[in-house]
This record gives sequence, C-alpha cells and structure tokens, in this order.
Amino acid sequence: MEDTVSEHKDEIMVLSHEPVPGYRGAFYIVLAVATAYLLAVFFL
Amino acid sequence: MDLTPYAINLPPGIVFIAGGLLIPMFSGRLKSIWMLLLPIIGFITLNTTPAGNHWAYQFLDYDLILGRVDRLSKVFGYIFCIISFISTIFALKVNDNVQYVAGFVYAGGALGVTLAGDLVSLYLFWEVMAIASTFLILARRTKASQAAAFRYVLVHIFGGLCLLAGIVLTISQTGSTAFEHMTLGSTASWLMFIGIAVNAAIPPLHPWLSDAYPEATVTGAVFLSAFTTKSAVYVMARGFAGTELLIYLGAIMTSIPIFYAVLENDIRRVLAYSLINQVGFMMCGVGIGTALAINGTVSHAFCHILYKALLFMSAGAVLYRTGKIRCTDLGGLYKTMPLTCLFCIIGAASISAFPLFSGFVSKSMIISAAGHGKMTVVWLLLQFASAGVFHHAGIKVPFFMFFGHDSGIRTKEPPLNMLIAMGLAAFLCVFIGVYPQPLYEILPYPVDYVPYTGAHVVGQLQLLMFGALAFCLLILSGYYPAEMRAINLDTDWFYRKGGRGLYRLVDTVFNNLNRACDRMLAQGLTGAVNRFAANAPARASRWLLTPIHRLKGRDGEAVDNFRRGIQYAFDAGVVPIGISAAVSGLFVVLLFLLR
Repeated sequence: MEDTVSEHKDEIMVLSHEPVPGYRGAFYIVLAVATAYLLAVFFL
Repeated sequence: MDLTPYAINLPPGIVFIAGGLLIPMFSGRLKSIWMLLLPIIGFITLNTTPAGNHWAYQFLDYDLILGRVDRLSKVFGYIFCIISFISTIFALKVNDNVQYVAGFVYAGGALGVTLAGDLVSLYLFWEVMAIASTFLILARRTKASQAAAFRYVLVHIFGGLCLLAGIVLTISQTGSTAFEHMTLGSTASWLMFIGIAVNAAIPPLHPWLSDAYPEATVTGAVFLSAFTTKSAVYVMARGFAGTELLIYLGAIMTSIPIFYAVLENDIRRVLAYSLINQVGFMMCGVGIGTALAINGTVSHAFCHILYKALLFMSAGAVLYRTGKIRCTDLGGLYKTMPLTCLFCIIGAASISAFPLFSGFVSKSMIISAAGHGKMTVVWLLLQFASAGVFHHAGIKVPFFMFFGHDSGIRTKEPPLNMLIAMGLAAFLCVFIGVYPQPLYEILPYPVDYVPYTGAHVVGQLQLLMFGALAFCLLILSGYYPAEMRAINLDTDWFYRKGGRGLYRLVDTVFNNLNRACDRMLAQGLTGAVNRFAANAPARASRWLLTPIHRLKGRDGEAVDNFRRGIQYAFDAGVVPIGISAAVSGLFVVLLFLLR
C-alpha cells in the first residue's frame, strides 16, 4: 500500500447515482416494451 | 509418459496435509518450491492412480478407504490440485506460515473428502476442512475477522455434528460405513443432508459464506472460494443425485443472492453472494440427476472454481494494493491496474457465461437439462439468475472497482506472482470456453452436448445484452440502489441479532429468577433458619426454663434477670451444669413425646 496515493481524503458514506436528464423516460419506455414483449412470449 | 514411478504412494489429501504441516520448516526459495511441488505431486498421484479403491486402512473397527478413484472424484481432484497450484503462486509473497499451513491442510481436507470411500474418513476430512479454513479467516488478525471466524466455526460445528449424527445412525442401522448413494427419508439421511447443505450454503443455511469469506485474508479468500462449497457439491452429487428437493432449493439459491449482491457495498461480499448463486446452479443439476445435469454440475464446478478464484484474486489484488474493497471507496483503477482490470473482466465474462468463456460451456448444460426435463419454472428461474449474475458479478464488480466514479486512488499493479496466478486462471477460463473438449472428456458420463449452436449463442447474447441495458438504464435513470457503508443482514439475523436478543431474554429471565430464589431461599428461609440456629440453644433454654423458674414463685425483674443470665451464659460459653442437665432432660422428654 506504500505505492498507493489517494487524491481524495474524505471517505464516501453513500455513493448515490444521480439521474441523467432524459434517461428516466428512456427507462420507462424500455420497461414498457420489455413487459409487453414478455407478456406476448408467455401468453400469445 | 508414464509418471507412476515418480508419484508418491500416498493419498493426495495426505500429501497436502503432511506437506502443508512441514512448510514452516522451509524458508526462502526452498519454501516456494516445496509449496508448488505439493499440488504437482497430488495431481500426478491422482492422474496415475487407476479407477478403484486405494489406500485402504484399518482404523478401530472400521475400514477406511482414502482413495475411491472414479471419474466423478477425479474431476474434482484435478481441479482442487490445479487451483491449489494457482492459489499458491498468488500467495507466494504473503510470508505468513499460518496462511500457508492452513491453506494446504484445508486443500488436503477437500481432496480427502473427494476421495473418501467411507463415511468415517469422509467425516474426518470434513472436519479438517472446517478447522483449517477457520484459520484462513483468523489470519487477517482484525476484530471483524475474529468475530466472523467465530460465527463461521460455530455454523460449521453445527453442520459437522449433523453429519456425524447421520453417519452414526447410518452405521448403527446398517452396520456399514460405505459412502454410497442415499435417498431422503430416514432420520440419518436427513441429518447427513443438512450437514452437507450447511457446507453447500443452501438457503437458509447460507449466510456464513457472505459473512466469513469477505473477512478472510487476501489469499485466504481465494482458497476459501474453491473448496468448502465445491466439496459439498461433490458429496451431494455422490450421495444425493436425483433428489427432487435439491432442484427447488438450487433454483431458489440461484435467485435470492442476486438481490443482496446488488445492494452490497463490499466487493468481496458481492462475490460471495455470486458464489452462492453459482452453487445454486450446481445443486439444481444434482437434483435433476440426469447424465447431462451431472455432467453440467461437474463441469460448472470445475469452471466456477477457476473464474471465482480469478475474481477473488483480482479483488484481493486491489485490496492488497489500496487497502480498500468497498464500492464507495474504489473506482477508476483501470488507469493504474490495467492487467488486473483485464483479468477481472475475463473472470466476470466467464461467470456471466459469455460465449467463448468457460461459464458458457458448463452452465448451459444445467439449464438445458432443466429444459429437457420440462421444468419450465425452474428453467425460467435459472435464466433470471443468469441475467442477475451478469448484473452483479459481471458488471458491478469490474465497474465499481476499475471504472465508475474516480476514487482518486493512484496505485500500481500487484506483484508479479499475483499477476502470473491471475493470468493462469484467466488463460484457463478462455481456453475452456474456446475449446471445451478436454474438459468434456474427463466428465463422469459421455458427453453428447454441443454448446456452440446458433440458437444457444444468440439466446445467451440476448439475455446478456438486455442485462447490460438494464444496468445502464438503472444507473443513468438514478434508480440503481446507492452503495452504502452498512452491514446487510441475511438469515444470519437469527444468530447475529436474534441470538443477541435471545441471550438478553434468557439473561433477564434467569437472572431475575436467580435473584428471586436468592431472596426467598438464600436470604429468606435459609437466613431465618440460620438466625434461629445461631441463637437456638439460648432461645430454647429460655423458652423451656422460664416457666420452671416461674413455678418457684419468682416474677417480674427476677425472671428478666434469669433470662438475661441464660443469654449471657450461652454467649460466654459458660452454661451452668444444672441448666445444661435440665435442657438435656427436657430435650429427651421432648424426643420421647414426639416418638
């Protein structure tokens, strides 16, 4: 560990993932398409 | 080339254990050579030993068979020797005899279990494994590792006792110590099943694994990832193949850890959960019990030992260099540890069953066996688990260690021995994935399975690509659970929190009961008797002699003086002979009346 240098001193307690604008919509669209696809596969 | 003359005529397990115990006698380069020789000797011995029972000894009234060699035991024996060799290379710079000895004794125990032809030697090697592996956790020498090791050994003592009870019952009922196929039904078989299930980490008996393995040393975790669960898989395959219950337990086992792994912050704990998930596939295969399923189980155990060790080695290399292993502390290490990053990605691709990597050619056999058996729900659960393992072990582990947010840590690659060990494991992962034929040829049953069909490759790639899409969208939309510094309790709640609560409850109940008994008996009744007994002769004398004194016509102050005189005489120990005689006489009369 003697060869390791850390530029950040503060320890992060929570590493959250901030939403990138526009991707929430993309997430819901993909979720809806995937659900419809699965329903079609299982029941049609 | 016939290597038989060069092979030492000892069971490979004993070679490992005896050779491991001798390690502290060597130093420097000689120690490294000695440690690297042991797995090679074990491998050659196993390879040159023909099928059948070998190394039979008489112990007490039992016939111990330390070498039941057949196709099933040979595959596990081979991979245990190979991974011992790779792990030893990885550990060469550790310079801690405790870890070396524990590692080899542990590996020897696993080899002993694999080759055991009877229940007594199976149990003995089983316990050797449990004890030796505990030292690999203790050797980290932290408070957390000591606590984890204590919990680990408690759970394994429970499992070992269940196994022992089952073995004792079996021997007393059948008179035989033979380790053969069993069916669930009798108490003995259930006890043995539970004992093995503890080591296989079958839910709800699984949390010891995710609790203890991440607390082990850097090299200890690599050893641990290979032996305990896989030797349990072997024993299940040998003893309980075709047990329907294992199909459902295995399917559940593949799915439950996914949720915990996604929430987990500690990288080695994520890997521990993915280990449980992968052993779930093997349990499912053992439960299905067909030739394809058993071949799938054995080949998956073989491949899994390699890629799981590779993943634990890469995480260990990061821990070795940075001293950190949490997602919250790591990230951006690909810049300074590119080779470790590459090896980690190869391990991740293998565990995710990407085409051309080892997991693809083994896991698919188990899933196909479930499909051939028309087990739709099980098949769906296994597919879900495949996507899930890609999500946490395939993407999360490399992403949060080497990419993701830049932690600001600037380090360098681990020592050369670690890189060589990771390189060897990575090479085998790719080699088996590209050219699985050598592995297929050593499996227990003839293999009539082609992994690289168009439908299979496209189907698997679909699953993996949709898994990757889901991960990206969850991260980018902000729905991916945040990594937090926390301990996520599993069913270990029952002994970590619940056990503490039970202790408090029992402590409160029994201590209050103790205090009540103390008040009533020790201080109350006994105290009263004691107080009475301490002054009893004077009291009895006063009670008996005062009426006699009154008969003489004395009263008032004279009686009081008489009573004080009696008390004084007893206190001073100078009781007049007349009083003593009177009391004795009255006592005799009293006895006569009560007769």
